Amino acid sequence: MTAVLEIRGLSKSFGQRKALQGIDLSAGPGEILAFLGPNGAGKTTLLKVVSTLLTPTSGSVSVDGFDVVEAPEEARRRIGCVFHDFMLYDDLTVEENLTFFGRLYGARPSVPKLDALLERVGLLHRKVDRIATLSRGMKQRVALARAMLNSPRLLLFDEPFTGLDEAAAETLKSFLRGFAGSSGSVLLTSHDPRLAHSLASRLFILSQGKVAKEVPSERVPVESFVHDFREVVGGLP
Amino acid sequence: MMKEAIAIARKDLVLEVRSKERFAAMVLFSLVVVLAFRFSFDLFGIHEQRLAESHFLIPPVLWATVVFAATLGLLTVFSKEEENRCIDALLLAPAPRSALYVGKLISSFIPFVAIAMFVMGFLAIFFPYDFRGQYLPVAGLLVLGTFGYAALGVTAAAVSSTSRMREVLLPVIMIPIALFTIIVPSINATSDVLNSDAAGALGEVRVIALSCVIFVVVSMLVFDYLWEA
Repeated sequence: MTAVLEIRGLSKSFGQRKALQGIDLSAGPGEILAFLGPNGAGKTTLLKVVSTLLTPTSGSVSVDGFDVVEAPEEARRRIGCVFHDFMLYDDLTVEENLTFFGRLYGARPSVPKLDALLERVGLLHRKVDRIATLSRGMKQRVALARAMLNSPRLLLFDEPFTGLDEAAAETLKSFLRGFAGSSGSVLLTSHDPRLAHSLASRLFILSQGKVAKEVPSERVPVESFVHDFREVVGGLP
Repeated sequence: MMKEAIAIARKDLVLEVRSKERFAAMVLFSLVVVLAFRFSFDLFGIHEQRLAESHFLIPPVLWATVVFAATLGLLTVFSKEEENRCIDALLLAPAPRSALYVGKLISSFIPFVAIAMFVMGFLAIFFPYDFRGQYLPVAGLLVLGTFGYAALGVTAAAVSSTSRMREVLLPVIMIPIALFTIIVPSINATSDVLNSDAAGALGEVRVIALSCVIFVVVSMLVFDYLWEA
């Protein structure tokens, strides 16, 4: 079976600063990969390179068999992204945002599809409200709905649990499990080793742009992983 | 590609109609510039009778005002995209990035043409100047000239959008290129129309049209690379 995500020898530099160095990994259908690390470890840079927003300095990244440099449009067709800033227009309504991005992504949703998508993220009742009037958690759910518009194979999620209460975090976890269960792959970043351990199938601790540790979550107890994480990060998580 | 471009233009126009920030600023600014010219002409003793007969003074006033107002508008072409990093969502679309250029060109050109018509109206009111009844040909030149200015301006706005000095950088990039390709030929063409020199006007129109084609083609070719990082 083709890997959804394949990264080989990936490095990314900004001038003299090496943000990512020699990253190798692959993600198959149904896998949730979590990247943890301190600020500046290279987590967001990794997501941006995979999403095609940044070009790799060396190495290769392919999504569903499409190289992000050689065939960026095909790769983008298979990716859904939820980044820290949500990328939504404050002055447009939820519905207008999703319709616009649907048109842009070549997947303009019909009204029933849009309603089903909003129902899935629990925001059908806020369909005609402007983004500016929503809470952070709600905005994140709209961004998630936008990411699902083109039925992606790979979902990229930057710090998904930041600012969410426990109930919202549980809802999001079950959404991501459901997505992975339908043979998608998720690549997410997090600061929270416990949350990441409870969700991801594989955990990667990044430090100074390198994978300092790779851990299959079911084989390592959470406390042991938290200990490893503290060791790498050098402080309390 | 056109479907995505139209979606972007439509979204921009909806946001503009909703906020009216950019358009209102351009209208007010052009009104102030026209009034400033009016009072300065009074100050230098150029009175109404002479103004009404001068077909050389009005074209530079008309185009200087349009260019100032359009430059003001260009400063905010990508500002809505910078909020919440919406630009990233546009760049993540599985479409050629030239669609973003064409979309921004359409959504800039429409308000620029509207502003140009306002400026024509302000000149007719405050100078007063009747354009020798040549409203349609002058309006046609305004459409062509503002298209060329927008065609160059959107790319210049994209180049300067990531800079903290964008307010300074944009006119510095734009004006030298636009001066002899759009602005001066537009002024000359307008003068020629007002002086009933059809052949002269046609020559200038050719220069502007060629510049428009070059700006659009080059912009579409380079727009992909402007966002590379």
